[in-house]
Amino acid sequence: MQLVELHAADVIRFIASLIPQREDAEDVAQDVFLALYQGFERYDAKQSSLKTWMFRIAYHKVLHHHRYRNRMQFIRLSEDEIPNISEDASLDISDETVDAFLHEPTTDREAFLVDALSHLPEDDRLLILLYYREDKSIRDISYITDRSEPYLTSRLQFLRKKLCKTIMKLEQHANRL
Amino acid sequence: MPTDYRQNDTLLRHAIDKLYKENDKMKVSPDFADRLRQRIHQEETKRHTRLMRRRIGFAIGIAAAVALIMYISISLFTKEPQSDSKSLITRLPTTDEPEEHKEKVDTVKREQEDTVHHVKELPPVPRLPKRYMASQVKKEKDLDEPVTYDESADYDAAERYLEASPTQSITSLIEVDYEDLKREIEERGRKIKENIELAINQNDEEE
Repeated sequence: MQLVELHAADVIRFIASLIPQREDAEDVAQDVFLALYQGFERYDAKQSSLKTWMFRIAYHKVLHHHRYRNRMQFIRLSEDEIPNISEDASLDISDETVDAFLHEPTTDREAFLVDALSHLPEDDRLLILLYYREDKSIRDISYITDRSEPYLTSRLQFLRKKLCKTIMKLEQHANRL
Repeated sequence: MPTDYRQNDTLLRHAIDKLYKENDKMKVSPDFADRLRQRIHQEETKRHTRLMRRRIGFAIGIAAAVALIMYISISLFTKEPQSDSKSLITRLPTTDEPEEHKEKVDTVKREQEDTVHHVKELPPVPRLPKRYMASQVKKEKDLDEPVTYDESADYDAAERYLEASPTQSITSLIEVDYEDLKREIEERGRKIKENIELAINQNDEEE
């Protein structure tokens, strides 16, 4: 129960970012802690931290919850099905431009970015969330989501460029108005 | 080593914080730990029940298998041997000894058939000729010897004996003095003969 007191808030917050309904999020969090209790002997401290392991369980429980509820919003595509950066010709922006763009915090851009983030597919949003908000390494995210590290790295680059491009478009649209 | 974008992408971090601002305010329900404890208890009970059922099922299976093996072994080793001829006929031939078995069965069948033939071929019981039988009957009729024994006299004597001593049991009746009885019967026979002779004489006289 000490583990629950320590990590319950983090787990529920993580789950709530993928399941908006509070009651559902708590139920899934209960499933996570139950699975943690039942399979604690399988935890390998060398492979990951306890929190990362909890997030891995939580991620899979959320996937199960969405499948169980037959909600198709959360679609987990295989790595081959997701378009790569090279395939998207419209995202022809240099890394320096993206770095500069995402580094300068301005109020307008932040609002545009929040809007763009909320329209991302949930699988992509989860990657952004784990990377920027939970400060997980690519290795940990790979462990949590069962995706390969090269895929996650390239996907992260692609998402940064995509977000940058979206904001640019929104800014151009706003300037015209 | 992939580039770490987190230090650079300040705008993105701010936007994410803003997006999930509501989640940060979310607090764990006060009964969360209690509900979890209850669920763990329920799951443990279920698991224990499942485990017990599995163990009981396993034990029953083992017991049934042992009982079956014992039954088969007992029925195999305690089977009484049947008579030779019957067992030879009824026993199915094994693949190892079909020829030998067939020969034995044929021998037994042949022996049985021979016995039947032997019984059939017995000579008929000789019947006495009719003429001989008639002469025998005539002989019996022509016997002109005095009657020394009358069967009805036995019954009369027995009745008399019982009248004289009614309390005597049947067993004591067996212990009758047969010499006396014989003498009495002879006497009675003599009287009857005399009566017959007297009757015949009377008849002759009348004629």
